[in-house]
Amino acid sequence: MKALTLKFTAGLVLAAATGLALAAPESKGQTANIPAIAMFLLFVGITLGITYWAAKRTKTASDYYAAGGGITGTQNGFAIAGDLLSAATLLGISSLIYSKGYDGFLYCLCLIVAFPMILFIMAERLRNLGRYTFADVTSFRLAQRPVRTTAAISSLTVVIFYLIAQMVGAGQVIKLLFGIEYWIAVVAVGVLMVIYVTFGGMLATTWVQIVKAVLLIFGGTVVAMLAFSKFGFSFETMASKAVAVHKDGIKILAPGVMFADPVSAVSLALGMVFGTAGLPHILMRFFTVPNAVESRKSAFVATGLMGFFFLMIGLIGLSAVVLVGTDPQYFEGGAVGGKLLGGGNMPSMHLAHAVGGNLLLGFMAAVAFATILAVVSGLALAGASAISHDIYANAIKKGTATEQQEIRVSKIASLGLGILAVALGIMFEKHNLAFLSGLTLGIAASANFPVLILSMYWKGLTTRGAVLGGMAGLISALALVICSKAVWVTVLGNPTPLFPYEQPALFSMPLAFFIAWLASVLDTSESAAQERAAFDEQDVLAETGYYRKVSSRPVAQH
Amino acid sequence: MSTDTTYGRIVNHPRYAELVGRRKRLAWLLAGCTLGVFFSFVLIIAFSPSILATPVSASGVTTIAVPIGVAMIIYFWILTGIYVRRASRDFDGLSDQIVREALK
Repeated sequence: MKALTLKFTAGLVLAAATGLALAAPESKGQTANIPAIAMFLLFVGITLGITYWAAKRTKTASDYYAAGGGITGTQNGFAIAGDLLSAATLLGISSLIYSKGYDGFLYCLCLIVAFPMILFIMAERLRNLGRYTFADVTSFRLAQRPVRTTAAISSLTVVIFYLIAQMVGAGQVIKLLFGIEYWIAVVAVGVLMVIYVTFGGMLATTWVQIVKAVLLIFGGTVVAMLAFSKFGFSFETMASKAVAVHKDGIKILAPGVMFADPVSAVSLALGMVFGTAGLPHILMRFFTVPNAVESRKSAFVATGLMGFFFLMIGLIGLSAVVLVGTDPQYFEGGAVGGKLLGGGNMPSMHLAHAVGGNLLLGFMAAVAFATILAVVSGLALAGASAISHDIYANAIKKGTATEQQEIRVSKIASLGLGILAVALGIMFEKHNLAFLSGLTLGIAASANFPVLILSMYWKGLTTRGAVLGGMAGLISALALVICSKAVWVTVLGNPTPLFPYEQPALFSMPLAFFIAWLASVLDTSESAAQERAAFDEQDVLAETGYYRKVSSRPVAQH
Repeated sequence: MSTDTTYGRIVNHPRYAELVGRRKRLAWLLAGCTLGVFFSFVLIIAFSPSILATPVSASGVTTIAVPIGVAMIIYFWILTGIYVRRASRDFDGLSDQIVREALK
């Protein structure tokens, strides 16, 4: 206990130093926003308190990875919604609605469809078959080492790309809202993330996410309702005013150019729905609840919260067209219709100022920072678990590592991921990373989702099929994104893209399914026959979760 | 199928097939309702987006895309609610009963 307190105090000192750095902004940035900094420091204080409380309760591997399975369905629903409602949702989607109208709202619809699908075909089976990572499920009756290594590689790819996107976004947003330098913002996020994850494990990460989700949904609702009240709570009044002032006029109220190409539209939708259902940090949340009943409830709560928040985001984006888009104080040089102060991602923040003054802006800025912190913490924990649980404990040590060794590796891994995320975040400051969100979801949809679904539902899946299918999905999704316009032309400077569409999922996801199927049916080895035979027992477990009612969990033969 | 293991006794339980079959039908029916509606919507956007630009009323600017979008969010949430309710009512008790009897 003493050692913990000591280590934790060291962490606190580091965090306080970061806080001081935040409170003493460099003059080069924007002007500092005092209410924002005060509210943010309050959030950091509360979450460090949560982390201290969680650290005392985190002893076993189950505590560390899965909060001891002690999170209720409702709490987990908030945490899952929190994971998906990142700064990209709050700032990015509302600004898309502000600039493109209804097209921006389509992203919300794609994201929310994932949750009914997770509930109907995955949630209970995940809970019944897995313990800490989704690779527990895919490797259940297959060879541990190759299947877990494949799953860990694709998980880490997703986590690292997602972390880079969040870090760069975090640096830019925080620089702007708090008036501090980019690199300080990135380091601050990295330091706090590592503290939450290494000391508090899943319990702290979950509660940080819950606190943030409550703040975000509350703040979003306040901004949306204050803005809506300016139009007498009439959607028609708001819409007609928005149409009158928006440069695209009536077009903003219906889907338009962004999804004009049918192939890209379907590919984007597939990637977002099944990619969300293959994100390692989302899947991991289904292991933090005690049983299948609670895992169902968490998907229900998460869907409701996200649906509600997306409606608020719609109101925020559309009302900002009128309340921000016509007010010279939010434009550079006061030129309405020119460049928004602080860049394209700022409409929701300017709207908070327009309807609630500096206090509400400060609150929403602090919420945006908190959102980034909570999301990167969940990602870091998922990545660290892939390294410690899948690669170290099962692939390298073949299950002989003690829990303490495994947890130690996980903590070192999260520190490593933190350093990597900060370094990459600083390195990519000036790059256009718009392709990263499509890439991460595309990889998750192609490398994780097909293998996961087949391992749960198809008796014929063998080790060879799982490994080759997962690899095919990962490599094809990566290759297609690199050959698409966003990377081949925008980043690498070539004249024309090799792959004409923006999103890979329509091609890479079926390819992964096909390769997994083909490699499995062609596999006539003895071990493949045993793996197929082990499916029946796995299926009974998946249906009933009966091992929870007996003393120990049966192990499938390998 | 052997009956000397817990899982063998569960598989051979007279009501196990009923549990699996009913849950499978409900899950795939609701998954179909979800994906069917969603991908129909995506295909309309991809091939004929002008349908969605129709105004709700002759005098207003609000298009039918707005209530359809809101209704879809509510619809998906209701579907999850139906599954959670049905699963708690129909499957948990049955599943517990099967496992309890198989463990005896």
